[in-house]
Amino acid sequence: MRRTFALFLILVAVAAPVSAQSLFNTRGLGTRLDPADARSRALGNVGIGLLGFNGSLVNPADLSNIVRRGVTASIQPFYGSDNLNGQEADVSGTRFPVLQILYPFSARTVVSLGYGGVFDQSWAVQTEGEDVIGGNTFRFRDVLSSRGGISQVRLSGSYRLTPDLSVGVGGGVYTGTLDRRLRREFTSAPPDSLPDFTSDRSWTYSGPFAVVGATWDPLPTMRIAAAVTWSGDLDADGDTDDDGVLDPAVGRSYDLPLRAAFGASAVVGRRLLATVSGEWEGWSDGNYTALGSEAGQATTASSSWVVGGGLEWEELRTATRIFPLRAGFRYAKLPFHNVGEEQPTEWAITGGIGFRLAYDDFGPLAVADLGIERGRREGWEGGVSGALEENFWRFTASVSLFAR
Amino acid sequence: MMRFARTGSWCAALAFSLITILTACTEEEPTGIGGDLLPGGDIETFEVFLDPDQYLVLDTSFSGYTRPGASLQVVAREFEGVYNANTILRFGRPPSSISVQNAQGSVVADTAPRYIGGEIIVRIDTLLSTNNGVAPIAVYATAEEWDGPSATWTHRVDTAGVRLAWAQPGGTPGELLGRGARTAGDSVFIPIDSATIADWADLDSNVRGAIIRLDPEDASTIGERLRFTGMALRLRARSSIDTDTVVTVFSNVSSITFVYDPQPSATATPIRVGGIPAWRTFMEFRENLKDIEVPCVTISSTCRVRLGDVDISRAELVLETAQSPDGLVPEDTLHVVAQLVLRSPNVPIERSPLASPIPGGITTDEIRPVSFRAQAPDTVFLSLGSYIRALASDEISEEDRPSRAIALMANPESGTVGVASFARRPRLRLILTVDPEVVR
Repeated sequence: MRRTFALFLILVAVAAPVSAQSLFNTRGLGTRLDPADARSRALGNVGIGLLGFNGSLVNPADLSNIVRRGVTASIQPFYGSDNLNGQEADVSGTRFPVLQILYPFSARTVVSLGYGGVFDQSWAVQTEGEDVIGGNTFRFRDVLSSRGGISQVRLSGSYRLTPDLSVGVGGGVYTGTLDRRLRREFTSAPPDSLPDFTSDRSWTYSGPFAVVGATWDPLPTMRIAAAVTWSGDLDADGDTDDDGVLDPAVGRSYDLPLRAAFGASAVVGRRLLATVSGEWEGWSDGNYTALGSEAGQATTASSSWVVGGGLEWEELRTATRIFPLRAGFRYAKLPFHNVGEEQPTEWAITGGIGFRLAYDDFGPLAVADLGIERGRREGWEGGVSGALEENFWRFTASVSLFAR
Repeated sequence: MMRFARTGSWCAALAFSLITILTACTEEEPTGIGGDLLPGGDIETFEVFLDPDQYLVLDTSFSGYTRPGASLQVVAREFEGVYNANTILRFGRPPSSISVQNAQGSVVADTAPRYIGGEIIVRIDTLLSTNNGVAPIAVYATAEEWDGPSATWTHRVDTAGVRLAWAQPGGTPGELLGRGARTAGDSVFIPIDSATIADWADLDSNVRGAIIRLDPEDASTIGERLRFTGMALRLRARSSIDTDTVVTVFSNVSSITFVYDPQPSATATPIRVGGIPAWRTFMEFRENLKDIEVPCVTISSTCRVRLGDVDISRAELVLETAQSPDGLVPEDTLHVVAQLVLRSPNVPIERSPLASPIPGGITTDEIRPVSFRAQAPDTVFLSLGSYIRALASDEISEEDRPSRAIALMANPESGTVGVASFARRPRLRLILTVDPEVVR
């Protein structure tokens, strides 16, 4: 178990914040960062109800499949091209959607400690301009950046009531930080140059949540699962200016929605698995204006949902290893938009491959998965800033290792 | 004992992870679009002016910080109708021995040379002198003892304990030693005969010397002012060992000054810097500069912000040039610099020691002499950015805050006879940068 913990700690350390820069992160609490592993992403699944090993952090009852202690981690590079009012720019970033330690206590009881994503709020925008002040023309470059997001630390447990039915409960806290930096670099040559200006503000997130879920296998080749997540208020506390580095940041609180997820999968042919899943979030009508952007238009949230499905084909294999091929599709309504703007949407064609590097009759011992998504986000028509479109490639890679 | 999958599987999985991580962790740049998505993200840079009553508790000018010395000398005759100046210098005794070659070809000391003549050489700063004519000068022997450091137009000795007036203001002239005038070059040569040299050798050192004046008997010298860059006494000595040998030697200038009229007052209400003796202006800023509230109307009509809450991008004293006293317009371009003053309760500000110069505390442009004439006033800016930032910052404790008192000085100090004058109580120009979200 010591090696498992060591690997987990390494992965957590590696998972230091790396900013993503999708401009869709600028509204509200950002964009969803689903705590789903590469297999789920490749199948268009939201991370629930999959036959076989599922390393996602969605339904605690899905843990009931786990028979070995292990660790799983995912990384998610993202490359996109944004178009706003005819202007295009490339964006990119890397996220770490899920890390999880798995520990079966008995044949019926499995617990896990996980760290997963919730919302990504990293982005950076640069503008250039000039001011004429007192006869001097000062050229400048402004960079407004936001780094951070909302994550979750979750303790989950599952209990197998019958060979076909399992239940799970989990709970934890939302965590994370948001560092907002406003920087102006004066680019004029002397004497019209001025020292750079920087304003830093920082917030720390906290809030509770709890989740219950169940899985039912009506057939040995079929699984149905559902989970409901309740969240308390998400508090964003402005960090104090103890060392004179930070500007004052006003804290605030956000209502988080009730979240319901369902999923099902079944073997529908020789070595062919099919899955469908979906998730709904019931956002309130509150003000979800992003921290540090209170001066702008109010941001609201609309109920959001995501559905998806896909196929997994395990025909590709060698004598000792299996390489499942996956394909799928997912569609989502994203929650955040300004008043008067249309709700943004996202779709993606998904695919991927698995590498069951080692396994035995009780299940996998070493698994690596790769998911690839080609998708598009668009929305916010009708607003002052104009519609935003984003075409993206999203890659998700997961590694899971288990003890014998 | 817990066992994991085969080592090969581990390595493959870890290699897969590392390759993925390394390819993912690329440096990211901000996007060039998206500014329209972010109302409230605009940084505001704006200008405000503080009136002197808002930030200043004192500004006074004092004179007497440098004395006329070896750096430059002046002669003037009713320059601009009022200004007169004479240069007074003292030579060392002519050398009592010279080196000559004897009949055997060896260099030996000749301790009995006979001085047969010489000349006083006066080098003129042609750029900083009036150039109306040749401006002939006359050189007189000094008729009275005088004290170099304290001599003035009216007094030959003016120390705390002794005050002796000249018999004739401007230095009592004795015998006329000679006259000379500029020709093509920048030097004037005034011949000195052997009798004068012999007299100087016998005189007490307090008397030995010369007064250089614009020739008072030549009407063309009225209105002229000459600046000198150096003096020398060149002597010709005939050797007693080999009477065919004449050796040229120099006698050093042991003391030099210039006396002038009219005398400036010791204090003045306008800002004055420069001149000889030098003027300095002392200013003291109010306490708690950080608490001054200024309008930020570019953000909103009701916006006001404490200086401690904003970024001071630039801070400048706005100096309006004023007419200098007649005859004392600076003869060269100059800068004004600011230097910290170390205050102590028991020491008047004008006698307080100066600390280090304020970094960057200098006027942004050279100030031309014409700016100190009535017909061409100018506005110049003295940069005090780093200093005002330190005075107004919320992030600096009171113990670490610099002195609230500064001295304004000419740079170079004593580089001009003329005085730079500015209107009293200048405004403070601030260019402030602020995150509107922070001050809103």
